[in-house]
Amino acid sequence: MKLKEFEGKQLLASFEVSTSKGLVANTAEEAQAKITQIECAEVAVKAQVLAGGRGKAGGIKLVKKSEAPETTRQMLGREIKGKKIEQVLIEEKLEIEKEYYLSLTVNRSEKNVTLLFSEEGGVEIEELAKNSPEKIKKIGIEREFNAREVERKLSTSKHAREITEIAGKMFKLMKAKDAELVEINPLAISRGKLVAADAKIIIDDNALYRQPEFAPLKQRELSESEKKAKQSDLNYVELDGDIAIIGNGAGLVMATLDIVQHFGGKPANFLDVGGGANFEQVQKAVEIVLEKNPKGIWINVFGGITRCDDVARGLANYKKEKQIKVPIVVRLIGTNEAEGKKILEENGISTQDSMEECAKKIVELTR
Amino acid sequence: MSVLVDENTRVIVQGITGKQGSFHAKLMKEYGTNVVAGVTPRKGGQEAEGVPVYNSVKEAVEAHKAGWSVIFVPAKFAKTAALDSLEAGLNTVVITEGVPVHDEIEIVGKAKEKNLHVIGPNCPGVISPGKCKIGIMPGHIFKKGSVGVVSRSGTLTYEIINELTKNNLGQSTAIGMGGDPVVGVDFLKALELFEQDDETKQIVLIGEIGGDLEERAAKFIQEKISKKTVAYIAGRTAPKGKRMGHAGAVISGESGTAETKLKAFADAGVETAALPSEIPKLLKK
Repeated sequence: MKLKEFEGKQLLASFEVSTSKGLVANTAEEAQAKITQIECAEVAVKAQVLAGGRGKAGGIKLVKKSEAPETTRQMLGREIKGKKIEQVLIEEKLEIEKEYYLSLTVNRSEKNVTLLFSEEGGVEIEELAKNSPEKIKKIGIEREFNAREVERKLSTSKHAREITEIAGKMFKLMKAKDAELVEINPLAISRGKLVAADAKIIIDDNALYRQPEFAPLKQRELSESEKKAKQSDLNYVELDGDIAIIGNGAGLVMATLDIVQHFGGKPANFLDVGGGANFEQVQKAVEIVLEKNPKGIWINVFGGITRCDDVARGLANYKKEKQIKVPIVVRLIGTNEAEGKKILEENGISTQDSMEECAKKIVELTR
Repeated sequence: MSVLVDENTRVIVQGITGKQGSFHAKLMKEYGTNVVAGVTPRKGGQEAEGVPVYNSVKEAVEAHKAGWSVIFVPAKFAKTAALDSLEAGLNTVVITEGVPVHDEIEIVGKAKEKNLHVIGPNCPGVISPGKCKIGIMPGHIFKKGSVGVVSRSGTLTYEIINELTKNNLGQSTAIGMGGDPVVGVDFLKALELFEQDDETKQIVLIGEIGGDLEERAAKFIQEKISKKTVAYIAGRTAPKGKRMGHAGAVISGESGTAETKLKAFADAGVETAALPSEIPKLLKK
């Protein structure tokens, strides 16, 4: 789960990392009322959206302090990469002498936390990695943050000591708050001091049970249907096609989407009911995918030990009760498979054994 | 030979008195796995699924020699359980889904320090068909043979195993490495093990979007693997930035897409299947 810039900065500040001074405004009026808090004559008005490349998209404006409320008014409600701007951060304009890049991230291949540093901050790290990877320093951190070692590895930098100190605080934050990524880009030198001029923090979704302060923030990433799915322990992601997909297991559902596309259809969603599948969950899943009015539904359950007759009976009843009009194609593999298929066929739900046949069928039925 | 587990493997089940643990302990025993004991803190002295239960892995191992443990406990307790097992010197399979990534780093770090294998978290487990199953996969779809399978997914693995078995392509060992960003045994380790194993003649690698493990695997295959390897990547249609079920399955920026992975395999001369059903055809070619 991503935090907005101002949330990230608040978190960094609570771990004693210096950040630029600013205020958050939800309306132009709020900006007007609070602007006296800022002493500087010039300010940066920054859109608080969870989208990269904000600056290029016009999401950061440098203006005179007196103009900030008007800039706020113009900015609010606009969209950046499909994300509506609902808040702005108004900050004192920093006099920047130099920009560094500094982040701590979970490294999948090294299976540790890795510190990334570059003398050339301010550009996106992906871009830097592509164009000049030699300019990025990578330092693996095993368990403890060893400041002496980190400082030694950063020694070519003029500010090695200060950067190490900040990295140590970021590491503490990362462990305490279950962050997958803590990025300061740029880490600016302003009047001789290092200041976090931007902040990007991602909190591990799996750790929300022990980081309850972030749980409400998770909700805003989700659409209404996605929220409903989450409550039922279903993994649901909306897509823009018209064939609803329900399956069990993330990999199998992804493969199911791929095969629908392979045969010329467009999936309306990704919905994983989880490793095991019982009828209640399939029922909730059907309910959720129907909200988007798909042209058809494909249910692909490879259970192994799931009882197919149960799932089939439930599905058949549900179809009768709720009068589902769109075509449904079902593939059920598991225990009591034959019986399950019989029940479905009797209720006008076609079943197929192979993924290919299912995909062809649902694409044909929804044309 | 097979890799990691065989008919001589002795297994402890952590969380054996829970719903999942007892259910799968029973199925593992039915499959023929040597389940020798169970562990549930504060429930030592009881019996579950025909084996004695202990309070800790250490106690269980002292009473019954064992080489592996399999963990079925809720995510909150997975780290403690895994460290308990690793400290007692056991290779460990973590079935549990939803383990925080910093806990995973600690678990995998401890395994490295102890020179032990961890499989998972968030995985179906490992099976050497006809010999030993440690995990939750449906045993009946597997068949003894010479194809080594390694996968980031659960049910998609079953799907592909089913295709292999239907086409009379049995498996030496199948490793479900798990769908999380940080896991123990990964593609590289599995490939290395399969390369050394006499029984394994061909390898199937099942990847998905997110991270760059597949890209690294492609390079590794090109450099170090002499056995025929076929790959499949799930998630060609996945949008950017959305987590597709597995915590590890997120495309960020330009990296981790199906295209970059497919290209990496193509560049390394590894054939990839567009559909799961193509895998047997590619192996038989």
